[in-house]
Parts: sequence; structure tokens; C-alpha cells
Amino acid sequence: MAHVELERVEPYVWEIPRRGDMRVPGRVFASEELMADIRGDQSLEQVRNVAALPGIVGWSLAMPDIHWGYGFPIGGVAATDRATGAVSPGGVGYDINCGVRLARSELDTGDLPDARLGPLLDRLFEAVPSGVGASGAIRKLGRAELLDILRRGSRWAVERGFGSEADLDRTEEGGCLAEADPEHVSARAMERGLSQVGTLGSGNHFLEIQRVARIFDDDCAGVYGLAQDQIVVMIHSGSRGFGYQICDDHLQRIRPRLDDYGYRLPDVQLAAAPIESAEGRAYLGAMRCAANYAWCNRQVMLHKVRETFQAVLGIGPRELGMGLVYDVCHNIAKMERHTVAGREREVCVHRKGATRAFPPGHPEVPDAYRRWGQPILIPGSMGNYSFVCAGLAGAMERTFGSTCHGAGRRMSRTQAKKASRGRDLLREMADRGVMVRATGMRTVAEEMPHAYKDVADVVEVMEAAGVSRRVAELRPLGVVKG
Amino acid sequence: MDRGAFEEIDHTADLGLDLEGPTPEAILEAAQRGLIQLLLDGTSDLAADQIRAVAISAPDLPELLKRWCERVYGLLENEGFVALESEVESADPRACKAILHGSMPPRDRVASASELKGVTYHQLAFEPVDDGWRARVIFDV
Repeated sequence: MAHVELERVEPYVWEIPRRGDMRVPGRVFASEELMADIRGDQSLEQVRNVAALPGIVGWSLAMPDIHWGYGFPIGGVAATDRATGAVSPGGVGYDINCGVRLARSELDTGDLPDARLGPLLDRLFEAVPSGVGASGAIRKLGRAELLDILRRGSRWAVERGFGSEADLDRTEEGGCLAEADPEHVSARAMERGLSQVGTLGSGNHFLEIQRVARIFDDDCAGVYGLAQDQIVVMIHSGSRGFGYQICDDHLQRIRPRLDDYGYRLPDVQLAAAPIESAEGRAYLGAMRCAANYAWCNRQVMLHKVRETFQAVLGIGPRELGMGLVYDVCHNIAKMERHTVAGREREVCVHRKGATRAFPPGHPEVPDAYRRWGQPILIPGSMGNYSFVCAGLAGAMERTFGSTCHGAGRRMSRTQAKKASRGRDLLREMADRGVMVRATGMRTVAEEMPHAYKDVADVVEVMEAAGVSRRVAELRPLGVVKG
Repeated sequence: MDRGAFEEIDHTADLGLDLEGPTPEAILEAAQRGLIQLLLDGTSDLAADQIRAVAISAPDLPELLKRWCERVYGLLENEGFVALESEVESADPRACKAILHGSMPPRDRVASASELKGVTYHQLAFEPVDDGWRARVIFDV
């Protein structure tokens, strides 16, 4: 593992000095304890490599949940100048618009004893397909319908009765990125996307029934619609095979052109194209299609969750009161305006395993939340707590309006499976008060809490750094996993 | 004939294979076995009673390895076909031909497999060495 020079510049900020082909310094947000984990893989080297991206401004950033990815580390943020900079599909990841959706309800823990929770989870496991090859949440789409989803995102779902306008207001970008261009989506991607709308996926994707366990800010939590012991539902999923295919298709298209662009990159997986090139525009157009697909996906899943709660608990929509708190993505590239060296400019912000964190007053925060800042949804590891946070002004000054996205792995899947051998994992989860419904034990073993960092440590770093602050802690009661 | 061999790579977030073999064909066959082992637990109870013919091409061997793995996974994801063994007639990137022998187990068996998001270019390699061939492929999960 190559040595990476690090200098601690603040209690929770470490800098990789600009050297060699780095165009900007690297900056890592971490505590001393988390930094010990971070040094254990090649993620710092990747932060350094990202700093060589053409047009990168500010810093190559890393959140405290950073871990080794391919090209970009997971937990990385990089902004490139719109006019002169590059866009990198590896800076978004395969699972375009992997993100999190949180819905509140009028129920509290007293309404969901185990005798009701078990059957509810069983029905959710059926209603929201999960696992490899999952399909059939809604009827298989026709090509024209899929094209409509790619252009209109969540709105497609709402217009067909999968939710309401209020859901769109509480979704990042209203559930649709403009300038999505299906012309740059391959036939193979279309084929993969036709039957997967409304499906959860596998791996670290999940659907959780949670309770609000702790509130850090009563006023802000109240505005977000959260209350102590309230039942909420969290969905973590993305663009499924459709998005994965788009990433791969465009990596294949961009990689051979690096010499034509005059790009010398330290890692081929950082393959990037000028934003204003044909390949750059094509990738962004297709990426936006995948983002819109993912929002539609999560919108349909929430609708299925609402239907299932109502059917199993024998209550109507008003009594359930399952309103969307927020939906936010953590794998995306977006054109945003940020201040760099005292001047406002348009940049392409890559967030790969990092969540947008806009502060109070930002025009893109929903009206109802604007005084408090954008909700940020940070899932923990399976069976562990998750957090709702709010963006702070420091995010715009320090991280291009970004914060962490989750716990971050500290153990490989192989190691996690080894550590799980001989253990009754479902019993361990039950002892934590969590029921699990999963397609298989392999994923459960890979996703056990011991494989991850403690998300509380991660969010505390970002709070100490003035980027985002905790509003509520959520604890799982039941988990559905692919 | 000497079969190729695979070894799982330990990677924080993803899965990978290191491969070695006497021929490029053996490398691909080892990759198929290794990939299925990464994705599914215990396939010894499955009978290889189905076949699929594969014909793919690529500009070079590393890309061929990538497309081969994508094909093996694609059959799992789209058809529920678990490739248990493979016979690679030719690993010529211009015209690779192979037969996959496999099984179509119940749907929930496939659903419990690990899901691949992509076969990455990260450290992708497929090259001759002194005593045969070696390769590496990393998967995003």
C-alpha cells in the first residue's frame, strides 16, 4: 500500500498536500479513530488520485465513512469546473442515484407489537421484490412507458396513482433531473430496466421499519414530521440493473478516448471526459435517466409500503398518515453553483457515497424545511441505528454542500462471512430487537453490524466539522433485505 | 488437462478473483467457477442438466474476461441459469465460443445470490506469464 502524506489541519480535518499530478489538495473528514480504519485500505491513495481530475476545484474530498472503491473512493466528493472540467462515471458509481427515502407515519411503537410486526414484514417481503433478478413489483413496462419514466422520474409514478404531489415536493430535484436524454441509453440497459421498477435489489439495499429513538432538536424534528417513538419507514435502493448498465456502457465509451482528450489519469477507473464533449454530455444525459429511474423506483416502493401497512393493519391512509419526510441520493453528479476562491461558479459535483447537505435558506430546500436546512438521511448498518440530519452553512463552505452517506464498510465481505460463521445471525438480530426477512443468509452475513463502522462516529465528525447536524436517531424494528 | 484455478480477493466493499491457468481457455473456465462461487453458496446439490451456448467478442483479452463474466452473471440474473461448468472452445477475443453447463434452480435460490452491479475495469488484467496465464477481475457489488 503506497504511503500517503497526511497533515492534520483541524481536529476533524486532514489534508493531503498537493504534490505531483494533484491539481488540488485532498481533504479527509475523520476522527483519529476513524482515520486508523481509513489508513487500512487504499482509499487515501484514491483521494489523492481524484485530485488529478482535469478541472477539479477546491479539494478532493473524503467523508469519514470513506472506503476503497474503484477509481473514486466510496465517500468521495469532487467538483469540476463546468466549462473546462471533466465528468467521471466512476465518480458517481454503478448504482446511479442510490439513495434513501424516509417516510413518517401516525403510528407509534405501541401500534406495532411483534404480533403485528411479523405479519407486516412478511407482506412487505412479498410486496417489494428483492434479490437477484427481482421483478414483478408492477407489470412489465413497455418501451414507451420506460422512456417516460426516464424523462419524468417520480412524476410518472405519481400520475399513475403511486403516491401524491406532496411526495414530489419532498424529493431531491422533485424526483426528476432535467435534461435526461434516453438517446444515450443502450438497448441492453432498456432491457434490464423494463421489469425492475419497484424492486429493492440486494447487498446493502434494504427496507426498514424503524422507530424514532432519540431526538436531538425538537423543533427541527417537528418540522420534519418526526416525534419520539414514532414509526417510520426507510428505503435504501437505487437504479438497479438499468443504472449499472449505463455506468458500464459509458465507461466503455469514455475509456478509449482519454488520449484524445489529453488526459493523463493515475487510475484507469477514473476514466473521465470533458463535460462539454460529446461523451461527457452523453454520459450526463444517460446518468440523469438512471437518476430519474431510481426516484421512480423508490416512489413505487413507498406506495407498495403504504398499501401493505393499510392492508395488514386494517387502517386507511389518513390513520396511517405515511407522508414522505425526504428522499435524497448519494451517488450522483449534478451541476450546482458554489463559491470557489471567493467567486461563484457552476461546477459538476460528483458525490459517490456522499449526500447533499444544503443549509438553512438554500433555495433548493423545500419551502417547509427551508428555515431548518435540508433533511439528510444517513442509514447505519443492518440492525443498527440510522440518523436524520440537517445541512449546515459549513457544508457550502467546506464540502460543496455534501456530507457522509452511511456507516462505511470496515470489513470485506469475505471477512464478514468468516466472522459470521457458526453464529445464529437471525437470533443475534432478534436479541437486538430486530426481525429480519431476507432472501438468503449470505447477504445477512455480509451485512452484519460488525462489518461496518459505527455510523454514530461518522455523523459526529460531520457535526463537529460544522457540515451537518443530528436531528433524530432511528432504530430498526424490522428489516427486509434482498 | 490442467484446470485453471481461482482465488478470491479480499476487498473492503467489493468482490474479486485472481485467476491462473495453463491456457486462456482455462482462465475463462476458472473465472466462471470462481464467479459462481462468489455469488452463490453451495451449488454441489445442483445438477448440470441445462446448457447455454456463448459466443462473444472483445478488442482484447481483459475486455473478453469482463464480457465473459457479464454473460455468466447475465444468465443468472435474467434467466435464473446457474453456470456450474464451462467448456471454452476458444478464448480468441475476436471469436470466443463456449458451452455453459448449468442448472435452473427455484427462483428463491437465485434471489439469494449476491447481486453484481458491474464487472469493473479496476485492476482488470489477463496476460501471459512464464508458466501459463494469469488474470484479475474485480466486481462491484
